[in-house]
Amino acid sequence: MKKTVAILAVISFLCSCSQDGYFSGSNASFAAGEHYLVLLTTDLVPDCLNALEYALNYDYYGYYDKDNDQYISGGVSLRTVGAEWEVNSVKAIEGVKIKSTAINEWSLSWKGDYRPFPGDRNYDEKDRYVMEFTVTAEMISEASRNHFDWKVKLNATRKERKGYACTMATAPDLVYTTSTKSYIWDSCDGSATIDVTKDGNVIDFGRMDYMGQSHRYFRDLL
Amino acid sequence: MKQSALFLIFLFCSLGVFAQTSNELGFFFGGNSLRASYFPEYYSHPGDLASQYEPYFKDTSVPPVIGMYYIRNIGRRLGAGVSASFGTASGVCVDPATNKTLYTRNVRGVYFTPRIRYYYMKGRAGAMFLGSNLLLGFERQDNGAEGSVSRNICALSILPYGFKINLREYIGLFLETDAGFDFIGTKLFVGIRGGVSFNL
Repeated sequence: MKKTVAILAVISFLCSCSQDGYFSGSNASFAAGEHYLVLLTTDLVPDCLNALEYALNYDYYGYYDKDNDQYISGGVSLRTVGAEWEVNSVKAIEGVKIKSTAINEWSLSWKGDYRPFPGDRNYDEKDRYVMEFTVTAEMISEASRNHFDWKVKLNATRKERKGYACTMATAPDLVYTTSTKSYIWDSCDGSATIDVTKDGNVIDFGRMDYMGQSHRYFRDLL
Repeated sequence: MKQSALFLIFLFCSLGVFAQTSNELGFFFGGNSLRASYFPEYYSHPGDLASQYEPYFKDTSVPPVIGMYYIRNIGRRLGAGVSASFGTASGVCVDPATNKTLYTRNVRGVYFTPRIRYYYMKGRAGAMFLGSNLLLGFERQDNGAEGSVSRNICALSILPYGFKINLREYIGLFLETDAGFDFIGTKLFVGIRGGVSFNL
């Protein structure tokens, strides 16, 4: 009996645990805005930067003129201003379109059901939540490390059930940097905001300030 | 498909088609974390915006259940039977913006449970057993001014464990606990029941 209860308690505890993101420094309450902004900065932006870096590294090897399953390049280097690639190397944002907008600056756009965000995956396609975003990434440093350093500007919208939607943006832009040995971006500076609307009316506003390896959330429930 | 196969197995057992040597009739009282106040719609969209801003429900007590069972023993080790029970649950609807209770929800349900047991210890003094139950039920939920809704329940207990102590030749006390999965509500649950049993 005691063993059974103990085992069930352990299982319940494990089920309730969730892994923190890269920049976990806050244990604030599970406000929707905070949760979404954390997902934005720990999942969505790194996915975009990974897709971009994979494409740039691929470009380095001189195979940019080849179309294959992961990169549809049109035969133009991604470092050429105006070049546009479709990248499938990151599964969560498969088919993301990357366009070189200036020297060392790229714009990424994608629309679909972004899986790290919550939602019901069992529903029909028409009921899935649609997320649409544009990320502009400016390369700050291209040092010989596992990742480059980036300045990221983001605009995202997400539509959900019962008339709920949200708009997320960065202001000021997020700066992602990494140390020499790290395999992930281990520092983020800047701010991200979220507006939650129901039937077009704003009902909640939140802002997350990132300070290196910690963050702080401010909420204004309307 | 799997659910249908399991249901047929349990139903087959519950009809007592196997040879048997003695029977057992029991009355029980217990609790079950199959929180009846949580209806499936609140689990199908975990963590999305609506679930953060729409009123949500939380239970105020472990739903009690009362019922009776009948087990036909098959030789010394196996038993198969059914139980019928009645349960209630209550919860409150909370507004996340103000954290205030909007209304109280009451749920009543009836349950029918084909069950099998494997006695790994059995003697004159009592028995210890493992088993498996398939819980089928119907629940009615009263939401006050919001109206009423109904739902069916289909849950499989995968880890029932219990023991019985015979006080006399014909009467004993038992306690059993189980853990399982609610297929319709898609959630895990645990339960505990105790009562008196008669060796027929």
